[in-house]
Amino acid sequence: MDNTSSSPLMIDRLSVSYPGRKSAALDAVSWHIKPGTLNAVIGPNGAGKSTLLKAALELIPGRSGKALFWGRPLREVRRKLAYVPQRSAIDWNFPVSALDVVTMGLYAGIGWLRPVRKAHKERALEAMARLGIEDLAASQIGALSGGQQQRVFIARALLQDADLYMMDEPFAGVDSVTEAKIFEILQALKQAGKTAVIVHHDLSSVERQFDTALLLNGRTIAQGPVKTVLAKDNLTAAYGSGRLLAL
Amino acid sequence: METLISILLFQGGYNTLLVLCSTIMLGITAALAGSFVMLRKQALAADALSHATLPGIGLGFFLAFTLGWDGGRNLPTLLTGAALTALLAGLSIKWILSRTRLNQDVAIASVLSVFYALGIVLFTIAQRFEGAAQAGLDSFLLGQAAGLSMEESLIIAIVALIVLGFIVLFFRDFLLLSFDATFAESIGRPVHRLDIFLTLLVLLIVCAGLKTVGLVLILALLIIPSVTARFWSDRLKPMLVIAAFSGGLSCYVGAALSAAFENIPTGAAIVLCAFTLFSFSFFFSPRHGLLTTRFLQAGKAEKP
Repeated sequence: MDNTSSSPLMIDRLSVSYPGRKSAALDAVSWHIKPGTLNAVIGPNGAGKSTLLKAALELIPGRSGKALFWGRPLREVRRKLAYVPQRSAIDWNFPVSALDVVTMGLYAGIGWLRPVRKAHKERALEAMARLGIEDLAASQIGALSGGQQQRVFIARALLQDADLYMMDEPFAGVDSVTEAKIFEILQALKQAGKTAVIVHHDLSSVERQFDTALLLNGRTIAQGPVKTVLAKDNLTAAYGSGRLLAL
Repeated sequence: METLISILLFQGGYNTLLVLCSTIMLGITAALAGSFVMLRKQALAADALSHATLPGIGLGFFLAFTLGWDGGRNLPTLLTGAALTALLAGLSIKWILSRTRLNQDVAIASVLSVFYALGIVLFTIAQRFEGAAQAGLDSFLLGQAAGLSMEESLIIAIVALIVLGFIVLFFRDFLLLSFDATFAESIGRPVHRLDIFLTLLVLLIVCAGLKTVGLVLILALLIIPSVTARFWSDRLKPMLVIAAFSGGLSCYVGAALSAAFENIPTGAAIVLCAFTLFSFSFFFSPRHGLLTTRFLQAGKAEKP
C-alpha cells in the first residue's frame, strides 16, 4: 500500500479565506497523518485550528487546496469519519434528551423512513455507559454540566463507529473527571487502530497524550512528533514571547 | 353568545363548518412548521416572508384586473404573486448576507420593511380601482375567515397535507438541521437543500393562511403555539404534538369567535386565543411554569 492510501487524512496546501477579509484564515497548510495515531492541532486563539477541521470536512466555503481521506475524496468515505463540533455552537435549550443526541450518531446508518428501534437505543446507552453518563439518558441536554454535555457528544461520535475522529476543542471548559474519561476513550480508540485529530489548547497534556502535533498560527509553524513541535522556538513563533512565560 | 356556542358545536351552518375545519387544519400545520422556525431562531425571517407577500398580492390584483379575470379577484393569481414576492424577499436576504458584513437581523428587518412599504403603496393605488373592495384585498392584511370560499378551503387543505406529509417524512432531517446543522452536514445530510425546503413549507403556509389569518398576524400562528408547547415538553416529538393541538385549538376558538361577532378580524381573534394558551402555560405548566416552579421551590425550602 502506498503512503497516500494508508493515511487517514492527508491535507495538501489547504487554505481558507473569508469574504471581505484580506488575510487568509488558513494559509497553505499541509499535514500527513499516520493511521492509529493521536494528533493534536494547537495554536493561539484565531490561529485557524477549527477552520482546519471544518475545511477538511468541507463544512465552510472559501476553501482551496486538497484534503484526502485514505487517498479518497470526502464524499466516498463519510461513513468512516466522525466529527465532534465545538460545544459553543449548540443551543442548550433545544428540546432533546441526552439519549436523543447520542442516538443521532446512528442516523446516517438508519435508513430514510425507518424508525429508531429499541436496539438502536440500547447501543446508544452502551456508548453512554462507556463515558459514565448512562444515568443522564433522559435528561434534557441543557440540564447537564459542561463536562457531561461534552461526553454526550463524544458518545455520539463513538456510535458512528468511525475510523477517523475529528474533534473540535473537546476539552474546552470540562471538569477533570471528563478530561480523564475522554483521554481514556482516545487511548482506547488508538489501541483499536483508529485515528484521531483533536483541536486542543492545553499544551501541558499534549506531550503526555498525543503522538504528533500541528502548531498553527494561520500558517504552519511546526509539525511532527510532539517533542519537536513543542520546542521553545516554535512556541515563541506561534504565541509570542510574552504569552510563553505564562505557560 | 348562543351563536358562539352553536358554532363551537359545529352547528353554525355549512359555510361556518367549512371555515372552522380549514382554519383548524391551518392552525395545526402552521404550529408544526412554526416549531422548527422557532427552534432555528428564524421568527424574524418568517415575519419578513409574510410581510413580503403584500406587494405580490397588489401586483397579482393589477394583473388579474387588467386581464379581466374575475375583476381582479382571481385567487390563484393573487396567491402566486404573494409567493413570488415573498420568495424574492427571501433571496434578497440571502444575497445581502452573502455579499455584505451586515448582521442577519439588520438584513431581515430592512428587507421586511422595504417590501411592506412597496406593498402598501401598491395597495393604496389598488383601492382606487373599481372592484378592489369586492376583491377583498383588505382581508389579506388581518384575515377574514368568514368569507372563505370552497376554493380557499381546498387550498388550505392541500397545503396542510403537503406540510404534514413532509414533516413526518423528514422529521429526523429537520431535527438535525435545527439542533446541530454542522453535524448534519458532516454526516452528509443535504443541509442547504433542507433549509430551503423548510423555508418553502413555511412560505406555503403563509400564502394559504393569507385569507384566514392575514399577513400581519400569521407569524403569531407559526410561533406562539410552539412556544406554548415548549413549556410542556423537553423533547421534540411531544412538543410538536402539543404545539399542533394548541395551534388547532386557538384557530377553532378564534374562528368561532370571529364568526359569532362579525366585526372581529379572524387573525386577531386567533392570535389572542393562542396568547391565552401561552399565558396559561407560562404560569401553570408543571415543569417550567413561573408559578409552578415558585411553588415547588417554596415546597423544597420548607422541607428541612
